[in-house]
Amino acid sequence: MNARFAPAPRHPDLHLFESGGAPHLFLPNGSRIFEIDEDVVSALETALHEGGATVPDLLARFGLAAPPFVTDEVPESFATRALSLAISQKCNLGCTYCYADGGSFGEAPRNMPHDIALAAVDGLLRDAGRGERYTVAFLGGEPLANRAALRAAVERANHWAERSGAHVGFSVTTNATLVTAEDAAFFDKFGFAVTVSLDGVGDVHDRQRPFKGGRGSFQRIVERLGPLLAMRRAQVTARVTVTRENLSLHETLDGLLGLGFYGVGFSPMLKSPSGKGEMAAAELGRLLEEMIACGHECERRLLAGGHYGFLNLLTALQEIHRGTHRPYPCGAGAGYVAASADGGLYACHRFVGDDIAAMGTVAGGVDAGRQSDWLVARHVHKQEPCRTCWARYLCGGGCHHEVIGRGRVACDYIRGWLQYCLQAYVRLLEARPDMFPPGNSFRDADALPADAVTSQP
Amino acid sequence: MAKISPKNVTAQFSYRAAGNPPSTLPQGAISNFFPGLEFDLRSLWKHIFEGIELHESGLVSGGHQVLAVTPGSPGDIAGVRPLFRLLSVDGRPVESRGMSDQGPMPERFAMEFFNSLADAVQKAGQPVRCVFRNPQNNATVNADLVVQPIFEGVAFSKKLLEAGSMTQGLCSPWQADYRECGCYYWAASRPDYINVQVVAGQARGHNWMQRNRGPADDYLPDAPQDPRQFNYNDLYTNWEHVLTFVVGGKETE
Ligand code: SF4
Ligand code: SF4
Repeated sequence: MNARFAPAPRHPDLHLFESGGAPHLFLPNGSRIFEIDEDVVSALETALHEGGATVPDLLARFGLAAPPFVTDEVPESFATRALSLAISQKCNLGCTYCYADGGSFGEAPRNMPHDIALAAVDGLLRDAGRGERYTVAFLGGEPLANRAALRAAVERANHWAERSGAHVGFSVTTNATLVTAEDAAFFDKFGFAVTVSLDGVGDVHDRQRPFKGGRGSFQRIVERLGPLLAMRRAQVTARVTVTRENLSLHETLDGLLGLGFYGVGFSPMLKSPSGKGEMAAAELGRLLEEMIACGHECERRLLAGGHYGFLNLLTALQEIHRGTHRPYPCGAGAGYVAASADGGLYACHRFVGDDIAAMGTVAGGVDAGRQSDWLVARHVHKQEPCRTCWARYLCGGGCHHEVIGRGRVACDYIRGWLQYCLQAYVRLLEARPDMFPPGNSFRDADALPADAVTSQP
Repeated sequence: MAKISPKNVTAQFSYRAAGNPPSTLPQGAISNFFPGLEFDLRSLWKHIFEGIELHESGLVSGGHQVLAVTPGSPGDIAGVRPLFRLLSVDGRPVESRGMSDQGPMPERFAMEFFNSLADAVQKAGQPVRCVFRNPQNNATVNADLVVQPIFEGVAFSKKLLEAGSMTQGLCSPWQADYRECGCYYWAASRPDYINVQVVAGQARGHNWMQRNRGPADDYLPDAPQDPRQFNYNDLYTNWEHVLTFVVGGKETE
């Protein structure tokens, strides 16, 4: 990282960074990136040294002013376009940090009854319109502990899709210990996006994700991965929860890609029910170094014309290219809600059972009042110190679950990582323009969870 | 001059390139495209299919007219010839129906017809099935034509458009075309329904083209030949006297 411009926030309206030896300007408003010359840099630096009050005028003089891309206006409601089902609130693993407290979210382990799963799907899709896009996600617990209900829900969703002409995509996050060849064929048939939770290779994984009895789960998972990785329609990715115990990311990345995964994404553990595994500030510094090292490797491979499935970087690059500017970190409580096994609705899968983010019931639908309160309270313009942070519209204010539970402890990490991604973007835009095709190359905006840019869970 | 070079999509489309007017920015756009006060969007469709040139304005009914076919192109090989009419693209009809939600509207031939090719944009780079009609014998000819991408970065593709083609066909209502504007798009300072009074829920006012606009004169539907209305000559030679400013909905002297 170049020492000239540090990632620390200096002014709410701009951020300077260097890439390829040239100064660049990042404008949070619209997440816009410009290459600038030294005259512009020194004019901006002078304005910053004088306290920053003249920055808006200066930007206007350079033709860089624009009406706010994100205003204070809060959407009053949101149609639900993504629904996750805690199809099974039980799990056969005993991960050290589990946000769901062993899958049950601190309650008695149980499966979601068929009628609740079907009612949740009906609520999502009953009034779907032709051409609209929806996502149904299966989470847990371990979703395959209740595969009958999972399959019934998929069947019901497809029934509505056929009737309405809407497009329904499916995703599942699994620990892969229970997956069978039939499951893989089923996922393939319906084009599932399959995410396998794996925290490393061999012992590294086993230390964090043992079976309930304490035995390691890695070997079992590898035995079961074959049919999944052979799927033709769906791409299978691995998701790594990073604690202080598995910080050798480059090794993990290469190890998991070597197993045959299309891509690997890392999420730091910032909030667990017991506090176990939560990363402290010093460890986040190390995490940043590790992430950037993976990034450099990814750049190297991309520059050589290849592919390298480091999802955190690949997704961030696409979002940066589009100039994503979000008033929220993710769709939680907005276009996305999660259903619990007993038929409650919550802002997202991690809030299942938590009243703070209750959003109504499967039977009664999303509670408009609660949703509106949530959207008002969680808007990034209402968050401190986000209001004045240059990264606010890429970050969105940080994962609600972590921020509400632990506060904003990862901001230096988030900004450091985003600054690296900005630099890499400028380099790759030049060298690999084919990665950023013109026109409508937009990904499904409702994809779940919205974790890429800031590595949120 | 300071060097500032926009990189990502939002930076590109919100940065005004040297020489471009303010209306090229999203916040300054008038967003009127038929045929347009800032761009003539129809010009995009002329070369949307590889090897075929279409008439940009389409015709009132019967589908876009083919102007030219590149020799040896898939269209040529399939038998498409100049003057053929394009009936459908990728299974969707693109010819004018002269219909509205309210039924047939023969006097206002489906304005949106001109943009009926917009759907094809999503298929850039792919071949789509195009069905043409030979007007001489009504036979249809099928050709699989590749859709050209309309964007290069965030700008229109240079392959699709010659310099100036997005503005060559603009309407110019403030110069002369007052009567010819098919979309009744007027600046807020010059509304075409004026001196309006609302009494008991009923609006009453004047057509801006009518000569007598006293309190007792009723609205006259637009009719260029009606001597009670301004004619083309009045508008070309004397527009600044016959059309006055409207302030607060009322004409001023
Ligand atoms: S949470 Fe994100 S937006 Fe808020 S201060 Fe931290 S880095 Fe900035
Ligand atoms: S980012 Fe956090 S709040 Fe948003 S969906 Fe993920 S876990 Fe939930």
